[in-house]
Amino acid sequence: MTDPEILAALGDSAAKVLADASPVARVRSLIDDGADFDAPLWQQANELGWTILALPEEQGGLGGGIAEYAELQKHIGRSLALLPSISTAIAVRALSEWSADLPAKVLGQLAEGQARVGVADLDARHSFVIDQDGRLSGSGPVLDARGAAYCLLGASDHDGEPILLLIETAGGVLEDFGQADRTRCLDTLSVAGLAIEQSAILKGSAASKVADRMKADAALLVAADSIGGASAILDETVAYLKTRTQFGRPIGSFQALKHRAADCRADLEVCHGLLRRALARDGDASAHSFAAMAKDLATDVYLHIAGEGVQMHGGIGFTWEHPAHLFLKRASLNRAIFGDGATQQDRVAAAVLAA
Amino acid sequence: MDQGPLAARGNPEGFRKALAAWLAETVPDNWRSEQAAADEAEQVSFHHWWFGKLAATGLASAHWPASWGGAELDIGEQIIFYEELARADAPNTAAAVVSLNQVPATFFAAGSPEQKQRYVAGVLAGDIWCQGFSEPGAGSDLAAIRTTAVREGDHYRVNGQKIWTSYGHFAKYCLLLARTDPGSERHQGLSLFALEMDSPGLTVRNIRQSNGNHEFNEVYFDDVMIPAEGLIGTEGDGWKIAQATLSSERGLIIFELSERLRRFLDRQANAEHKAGDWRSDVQMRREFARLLAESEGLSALIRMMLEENADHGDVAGQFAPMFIKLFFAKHLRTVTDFFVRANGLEGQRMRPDIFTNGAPGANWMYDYITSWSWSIAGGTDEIIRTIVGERVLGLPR
Repeated sequence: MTDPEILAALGDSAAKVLADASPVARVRSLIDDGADFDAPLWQQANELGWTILALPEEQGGLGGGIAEYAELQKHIGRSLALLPSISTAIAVRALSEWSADLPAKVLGQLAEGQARVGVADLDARHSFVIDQDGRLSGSGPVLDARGAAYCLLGASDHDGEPILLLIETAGGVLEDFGQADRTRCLDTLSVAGLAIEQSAILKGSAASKVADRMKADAALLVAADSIGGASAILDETVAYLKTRTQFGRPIGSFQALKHRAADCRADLEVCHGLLRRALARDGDASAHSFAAMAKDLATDVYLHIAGEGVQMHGGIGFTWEHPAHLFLKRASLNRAIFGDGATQQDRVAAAVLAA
Repeated sequence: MDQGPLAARGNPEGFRKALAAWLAETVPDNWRSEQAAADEAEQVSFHHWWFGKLAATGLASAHWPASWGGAELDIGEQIIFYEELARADAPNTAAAVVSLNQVPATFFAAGSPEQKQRYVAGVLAGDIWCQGFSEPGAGSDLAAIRTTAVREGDHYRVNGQKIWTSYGHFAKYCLLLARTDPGSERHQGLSLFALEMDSPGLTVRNIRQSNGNHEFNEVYFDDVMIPAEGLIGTEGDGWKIAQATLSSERGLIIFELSERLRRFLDRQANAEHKAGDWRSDVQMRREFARLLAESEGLSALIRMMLEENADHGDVAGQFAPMFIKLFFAKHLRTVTDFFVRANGLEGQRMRPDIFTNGAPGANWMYDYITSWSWSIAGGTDEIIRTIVGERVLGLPR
């Protein structure tokens, strides 16, 4: 586990960069323009080394772990910044574990900031299958694929065995998924008979090991994003409760609102504790189960707090103008993507309870 | 003094192992089933036996300063102590909570050397104290206290009534908060006393609780005389000293309980799976997974709070126990409700409690009913929400 002071320093610096570069007005204008992501900010993120936090030092990275990416993601979640950070972190950690020519080459490009990798939701319904001639067909949801040179997918081989694949995005067709949360870039990738080279396929226990890591990392990063987002909308809501007056007094003086805000804060603090414990388990046998617990609880709490944020803002909270709905939509996608609550709970139950 | 596991201090893992070994050797394997069959007097005597074991090895007072015979365990060592108690499912010394925490905190803060000498040493010999703060008209609004203690020569004459006095029927002494200035209001004019429970004019009446237990009492004062040397600190400073009393143990007591609850869930997860029980039901399995998430999160949060408070003693951390209590009460309700449902009609059976019970056991309905004590005692959820809202979030009154 990384030294908490190093993490705190990383967090402080990320908070400053994001506050300057990605205020909510910027997020809103990118969404209104239909941008895939915030390209200048991503350029800056690359220069700051945010992409290679967990890349081993011998590969030119900073030698950290998932805790660094999670710390960063908390601040990205807070700011709602349109960055392909979750997909990048998952790809860096997955490709580092995958020793073959193509993955190594892609990892090098990723570390140099020359290429990005879209990442499929391995827990989502998809139909990717490789036939006996090594040709891939099917479709499924992929995060941050637009503009990414490669995509990292889960598929079945012709025997029905789960495998991982690295393909060129240009070999398929992307179609906007149409999700409500426009701070995220989500597409359906469709492929028809694309020839896949052997070094782009990972099979057997190596594939399940990397796939498990991808799922656990995704869970931790989405949990971190949720905690950041929840704390931002809670702060904003509390500030509003202090300034908005009705019946001649600030509405935050009413217990019907004050008590709910207090409950939100208590729930959020527990998520902080759980995420920290889950990050400390990285590499342990229980790591995947803890990551699943963190995602299950944190995304539910985020959605609740974002919903309370809309409600406690009253009419203004229901407008397009106010950012509350941006948090609500991102919270809802966070809960659904990379394995919903039931999926995460099933994972925990399978790990701790006899079948 | 038998040094016991405290001799292994200095190296955290060594201390943990020594504690685990001592607990394995000292805690009777079948204490839960034996206590379930024992009568009340036997259960109380088992409580005192266990307290004696902890006191003899210095573990009961291990959190006290060295100058008072404590081992001055640092926060990390205290965490280890409570983790190991929970892991071993050791008996709980609930009747000694006030004596071991509130009493020393009060005397360390404001007691005279004579008082410290007399009362604090007595605690280790097994003196049980109760806390005489709440009154029928002063529950959530504690400053509405009306019990009076009027100075007459070298005594104070006490009249009034206290309520919800835990273990008052076992107690030798009471920490009494009373109004010494009869014309005073609210936080002014209150003083704190050490009162002997066998004083003439003092009557203890039991209150039967919804869970069937008798832990609480009403205590009536009818011209009870306290010698002036029973006054703790200065007359009129009672409210201020009571804050030290009340803030003494929140973090660690709730840490012990949450660790016991977490271990309880572990034991449930590992218990034998009987065909058709809740472990076969996908919805119940999912709910259980969520309970584990809450439990781990709570445990991690309390550890963070304890460690960070110890490191920085910061002001924000001062209120952390508030939202921990809030979450704990909700979590405990959810856990106990889960097991009542998980056991179907069997879950409706309710047996008397075990006096030294420290965590939910197989007495599902009892545990469920008892969970309300956590959302009411020590500040109701509603009072805590107001405090969190105003002092942590800064919302207006």
